[in-house]
Amino acid sequence: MSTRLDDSLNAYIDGELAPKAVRALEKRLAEPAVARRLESLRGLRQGLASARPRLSAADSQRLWVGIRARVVAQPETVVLPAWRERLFTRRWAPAWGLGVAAGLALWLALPRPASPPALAPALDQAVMAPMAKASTRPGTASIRVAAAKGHAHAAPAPAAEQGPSVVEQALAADPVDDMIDRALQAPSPALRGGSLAAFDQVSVAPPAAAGAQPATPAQGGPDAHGFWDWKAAAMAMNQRQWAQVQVELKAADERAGSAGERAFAASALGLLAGVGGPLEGVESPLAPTGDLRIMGAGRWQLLVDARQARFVQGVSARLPGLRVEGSAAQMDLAFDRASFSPGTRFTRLSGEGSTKVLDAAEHPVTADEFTAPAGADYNVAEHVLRLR
Amino acid sequence: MNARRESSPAELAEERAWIEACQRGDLSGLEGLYERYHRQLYAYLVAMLRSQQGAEDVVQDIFVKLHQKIGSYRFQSPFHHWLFRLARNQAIDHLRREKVRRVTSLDEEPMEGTALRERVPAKGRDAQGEVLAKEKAVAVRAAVDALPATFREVVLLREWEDLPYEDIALALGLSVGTVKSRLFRARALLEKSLKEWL
Repeated sequence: MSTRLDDSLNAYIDGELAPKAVRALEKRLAEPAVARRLESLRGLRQGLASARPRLSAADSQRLWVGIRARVVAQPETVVLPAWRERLFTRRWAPAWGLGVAAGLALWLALPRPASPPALAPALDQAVMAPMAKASTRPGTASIRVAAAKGHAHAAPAPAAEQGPSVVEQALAADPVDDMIDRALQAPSPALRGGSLAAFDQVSVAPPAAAGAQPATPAQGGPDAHGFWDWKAAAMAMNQRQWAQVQVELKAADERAGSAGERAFAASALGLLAGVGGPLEGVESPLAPTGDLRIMGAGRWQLLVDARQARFVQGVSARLPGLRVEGSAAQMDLAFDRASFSPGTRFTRLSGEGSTKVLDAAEHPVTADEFTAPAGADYNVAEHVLRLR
Repeated sequence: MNARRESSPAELAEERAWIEACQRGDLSGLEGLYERYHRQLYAYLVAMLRSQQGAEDVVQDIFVKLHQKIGSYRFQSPFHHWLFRLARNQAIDHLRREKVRRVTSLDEEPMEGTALRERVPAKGRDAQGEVLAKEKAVAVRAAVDALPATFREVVLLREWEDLPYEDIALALGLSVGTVKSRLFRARALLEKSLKEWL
């Protein structure tokens, strides 16, 4: 068979042959050799099609969950309209330079207060700074919930003693978080009706006076992308609607899709239900739905849009078969990860499941007690603790 | 990535809506694009990278990158061309990173999640047809893997991505004539190596 005819047959099965050539070729298909060749090529195409690698539905879903988590963790990407994009071209650079210079001159000429406004209470600088440096994302709006158990009356937030920490500097540079810092300094009345709010349990009302309004069914639930929407829970906390807080956190504990989200919900419930907490005396919410529990923390905060929770000041926690004591912990709810600050101590407990522990070189750690000098990362879903 | 060939006007309008949503930062747009294209990308990448795990990683990288870069897409060329170029660049980056220069063996990581020895039919089992089909698929993939890279890429785009010659030429920066030449020669090589299976 000629190469030309063979090429025509190839193009024919691909549907790429011109109509005139198709008519000419189809006249020859009655020839046995041509027909056999065509069947051979069709057989090859079928064989290739059947060998195409396919993803299972479960794998497709798993990949999408990973993509979504990575995208959510990025700073928001917004495409500029064309006219705005053109403003940033080199052609406009001199104009921008003049504008910046004029703005700087104006700023220098304006009178300013003698000292900057006090920032929110310092987080545990020494331990939170390295974690926050890695995780603070400019431009990410957040709702912050801070809690310090054992305080029943409003108290002004103490100013940082040694200047702003890395965390505070990052927050101060973010206008959204600045709003939250201001709200933290003046926590009452609660910010009603807005999506940005802040809550400081330093000023929490006693449980008897709290939760006056009956709870409604949980408003929170999975968002369009499967992540738990924490806004309802955060707003309930901000508004000191403790019965509603309980409903919202229980809903997340029972229905949130990821182990990290459930672990946070259960931890938050446990913290609020502890001695001196606004939910003290309520039925223990610590159903065994997750394996990581933050059992105690002087202060904690939930960054709703960043899907992170941070715990500082005497953090105690439980992992399967491990007791954890450190000065700070952070949970990344989207990634099912938790990290513990440098110096965190771990003690093995018998009869409570087991966490796989690996050192920095990925070697198993078998000691009954050990410390993470550079901190540790915990995979909530896989129960693996890696020391840094 | 056969949107140009198969997409109806309604599907193209839907795709445009997804792209615009994605450009606004709306994840539902990205999800729509993922649903439409990820299986084709995966099939292409498995064959190009010769690794299922690598293909999964790169599919994820592609859609994360797509989310970052979608703002630069201006609807001046078909979206699947733009996406394919992105995918190809990611695949090349992955190969550079991983320095994948493996020789495919039938004993290595199987495509369907079972080792070859586990696919050998057990005596008395009445599932020979299925088993043979799987073994044939393994043989076909091995034959595709054994093709020279320049041939393999064209075959994958034609047979698994269902791209027309012109789109393949555009995507690979080749003439249509070169695409045809490589495709037909690749088929001839595959027929030879798969003689006992076809």
